[in-house]
Amino acid sequence: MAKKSDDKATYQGLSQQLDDVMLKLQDPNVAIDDATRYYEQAMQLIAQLEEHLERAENHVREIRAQSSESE
Amino acid sequence: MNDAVLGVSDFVALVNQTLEYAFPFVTIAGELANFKVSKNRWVYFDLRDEFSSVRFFGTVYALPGPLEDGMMLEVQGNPRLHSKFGFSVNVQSMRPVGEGSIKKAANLLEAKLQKEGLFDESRKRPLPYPPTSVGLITSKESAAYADFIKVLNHRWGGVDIQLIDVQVQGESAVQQIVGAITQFNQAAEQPEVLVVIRGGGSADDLQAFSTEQVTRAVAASRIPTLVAIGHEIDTSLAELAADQRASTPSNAAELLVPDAKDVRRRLHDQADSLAVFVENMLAGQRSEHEDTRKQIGQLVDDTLKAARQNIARHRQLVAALSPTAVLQRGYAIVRDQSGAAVRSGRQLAVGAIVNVQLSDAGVEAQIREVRMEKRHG
Repeated sequence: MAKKSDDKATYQGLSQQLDDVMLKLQDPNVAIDDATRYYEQAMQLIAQLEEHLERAENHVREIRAQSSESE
Repeated sequence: MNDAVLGVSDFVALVNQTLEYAFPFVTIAGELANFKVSKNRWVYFDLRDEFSSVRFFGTVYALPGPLEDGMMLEVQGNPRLHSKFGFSVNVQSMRPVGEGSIKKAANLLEAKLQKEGLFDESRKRPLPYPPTSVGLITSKESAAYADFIKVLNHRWGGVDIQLIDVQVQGESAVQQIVGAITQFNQAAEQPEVLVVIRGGGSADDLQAFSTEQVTRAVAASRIPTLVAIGHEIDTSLAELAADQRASTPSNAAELLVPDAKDVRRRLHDQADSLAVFVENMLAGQRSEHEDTRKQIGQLVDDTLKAARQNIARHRQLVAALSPTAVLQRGYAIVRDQSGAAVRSGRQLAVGAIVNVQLSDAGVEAQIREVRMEKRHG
């Protein structure tokens, strides 16, 4: 089932995509060329998820810094 | 003249003429005897001393209060010879005299008014505290007035005081005091409380405030009353009938209004404790916020950490599933000339050139034999 483009951009959406790709990659009958493609996709999704996480962590750090300044 | 014979009526008329001329008005003091009230209207009694007794006649309106035989009275009246009942003095006014009799009269009156319920606690009304207006009944020249005003103004400002200046002792005192109470009660703008005060004096001086008229007027006042007569030890009947009694005029002012200094101090104390209360409340809130902030921080940290671990797990899993990892375990990928992966021997012919991909090298090979394996199951 096609995902909404909105979902793709969120951590949740990317995480779901990764799960889908992982399922395909773990299929014992997957063709070697497909496996390579899925592998690449999975690594890209993981990189995107890490970016998201990095941004979230930075945001939390900024909020903490602002909140301790205002005290 | 001495020889002239007079008719009875002429004699009575002559004696009365002579009496009117010689004694138009007499004041006689003596001990009360044979006191009798007839038809609730007429009063008969004798005044006597060791040697003589004189008959008196009057109406109940002249009575100063309940009387009892044996009391000493001072009676004013006109001596007359009645055409049928003989000599008597027609009473104009009468009052008990001597400490003993005054006390006795007061006791009798007190008992009577008590029985009527004039002094009942259930009749007492609370005074407005503090009142905005006061109807004051006293002598303006008295120390009582000066003391009351001084204490009142010292304790609490801004009370509107309307004074009716009255005599507080002497003949017209009773009438003036009763008149003042009536006047305040009939005023278009009534004061919130009536204050009747008088300084110390002898029992005789304070007498007006224990008369039936003044006591009844105080009891009947629609405006709540505060009465202070004499010193602390004196208790007048008017005080008993009042909604509140004070021991002295100064005490009346103290009971009537609070001391502004006390009120101010109490307000300051209240403001202080209120400030402490608010500070404590804010401190409580602040610490609650701090706790919540810590909890949220912990939650965010936990969530981020879990996400990081999740990604790391995926990364490991994906790495394990990588085709390159398979090659490292000794497997190889065979591709035909077009580059497509060879998945079956049927795709190969003897002599065909294939590319074999190992983990660290690509190898070109030629097929020498194809042995198809039987599949089981």
